[in-house]
Amino acid sequence: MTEKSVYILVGVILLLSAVAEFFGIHLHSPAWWPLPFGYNIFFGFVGCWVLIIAAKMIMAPLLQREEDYYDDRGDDND
Amino acid sequence: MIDGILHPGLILICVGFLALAVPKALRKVLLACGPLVGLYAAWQLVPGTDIIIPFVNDYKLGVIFVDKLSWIFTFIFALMAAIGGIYSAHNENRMEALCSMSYAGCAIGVTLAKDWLTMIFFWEMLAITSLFLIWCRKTPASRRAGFRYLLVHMFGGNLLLAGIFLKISSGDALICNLVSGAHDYAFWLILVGVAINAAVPPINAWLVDAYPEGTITGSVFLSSFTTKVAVYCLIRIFAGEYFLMGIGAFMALYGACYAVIENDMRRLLGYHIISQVGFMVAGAGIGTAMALNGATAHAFSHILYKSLLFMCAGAIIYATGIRKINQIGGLAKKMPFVTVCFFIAAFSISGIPLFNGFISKTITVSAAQLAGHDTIFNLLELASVGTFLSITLKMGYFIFLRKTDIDVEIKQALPKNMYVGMGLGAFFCCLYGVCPDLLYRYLPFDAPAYQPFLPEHILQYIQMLGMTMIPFMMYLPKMEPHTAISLDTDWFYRKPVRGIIMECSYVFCALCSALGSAWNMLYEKFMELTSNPMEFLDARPFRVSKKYNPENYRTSIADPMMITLTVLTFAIGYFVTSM
Repeated sequence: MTEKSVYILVGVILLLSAVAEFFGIHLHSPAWWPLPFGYNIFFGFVGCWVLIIAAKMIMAPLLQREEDYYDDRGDDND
Repeated sequence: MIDGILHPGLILICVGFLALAVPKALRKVLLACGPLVGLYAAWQLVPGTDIIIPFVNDYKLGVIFVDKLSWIFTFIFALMAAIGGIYSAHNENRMEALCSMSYAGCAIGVTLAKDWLTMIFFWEMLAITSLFLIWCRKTPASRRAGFRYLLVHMFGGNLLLAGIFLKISSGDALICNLVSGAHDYAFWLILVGVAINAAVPPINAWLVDAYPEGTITGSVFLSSFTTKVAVYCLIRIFAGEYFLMGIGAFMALYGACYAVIENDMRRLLGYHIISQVGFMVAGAGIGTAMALNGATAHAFSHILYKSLLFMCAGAIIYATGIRKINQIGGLAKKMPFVTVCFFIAAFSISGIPLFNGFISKTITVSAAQLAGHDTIFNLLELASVGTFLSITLKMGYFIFLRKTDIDVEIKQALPKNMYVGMGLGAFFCCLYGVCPDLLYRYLPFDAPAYQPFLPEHILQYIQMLGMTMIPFMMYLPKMEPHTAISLDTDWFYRKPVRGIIMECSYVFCALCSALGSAWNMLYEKFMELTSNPMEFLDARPFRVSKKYNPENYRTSIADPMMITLTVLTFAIGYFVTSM
């Protein structure tokens, strides 16, 4: 499956779901903010970017080290 | 058997000891079939059963207490032991067979305990059996990880023990919900003790440190019991404790973020245990009947799909010897059965409709929304996005689907029992996903019937998870993990605390050595003086040598001869003059 076909597949799924939301399926919530049209699409897109940025651009440079960082093999008496 | 009731946990422990004793061929059969007896015994338990046996000082041990909550956890633990037993039936290590079965048995022992003393007994046994399960891999890395695991769990176990002592000494022998009572020392000690087993940050790193170092089959067991026993205790003892809600949501995101950057397959899955347990902790914290049912259902589903993920990762490591994602790729064609099972588990953990994660995760998330905890709801939804991103998309793509130049060699074929174990796990993930009522009818708390397959729920997850694929595709070239490790809170006791202890050891060793030398000098001097008391008596100030020389102190022969002659002369003179 090529990259382009993945985009097309996701696009078709999202389009169908958006049509279903617009014409038939009504969301229910005690709060007002999850109800606007396309909220979940927006949440998925923004949420995924937030996680990628937090993990790959903030956590990885701060917290990732070489694999032998904890190299305490010298303590072994094997 | 007590009063005609079989304790499923003790059955599993007996299976473990039998497996230790019997020959290899019989052990395979025993591991595959023995846990089924435990599963049957668990199924036969009836809510309302309360078996008490006498102990010392009129203390009574409630060894089997069955209500709806303990029943469902006992059942899933027994089911997992049966699946795990089949998956590990080929294993030649008899010690591992004992540890894995005893470990599952102790988890059931905690679940069925009615009083604190029975609980702490099985709780500590749970830690010990899981420790030996880690050590069964017999590598230096697993031994070191095992010691760190022991350090953390003995700390947590002792806190729990101290809390339980306080409880029993105040006359409360039975396990009960502590939230409505005083938040005294016992409350906090028990809470922290349980939270450590639930891998609540900041004491969470033991999980991702130790679980990946277990054996292939051992990690499947490890992923299923310790944290879920803690979740059971949180639901039983701390349901409705408000701040657990926030902690759970934080855990859910914490694990999901780490999983995005992790490279080791089983460490990544370990972070997702923390993330998924976060959903359960949040459910326990929300405390409504619906949320508690959600936490229970999610623990049930989680054991099935997480063990399946560990089984798939174990199968890959068994077949290829590779555990790093960036060293592998294109396995879909080489291991098609594992690929199918992996994606079933991945869809389950991601909460895709018709898989078992969806029918359990959404209960807790909906309960947070209905209870008006909007922030918690959004954080849990965000964690769901992270789960889909790091397991289904990242692991699924890089391990199975991507085309790569890396030629992964299948070094050994999987034993048939591993296929059966994975197949059973996948079957149950699908079964409960398609027929959620099979699980819902056993949920312990009285809440309005939950409808998972409402069009709005399905639409919500299709839109949210579908859209998650777009940023992943956009960022794909940089999504591949690197050869690196991620520092977690274990850094504190593996680097600075270890350094402090080492430095202190050096200082104390030097001090000890100096004191030893001083004492030795003192001793030698004392010995020298006591061996020659004349040193004290002889006050000559300018002695040439301090060494004892008897010639220096021996009197001359002339003196007695002179005395003798003098006396003799006087005697002769006296005799002559007196004549």
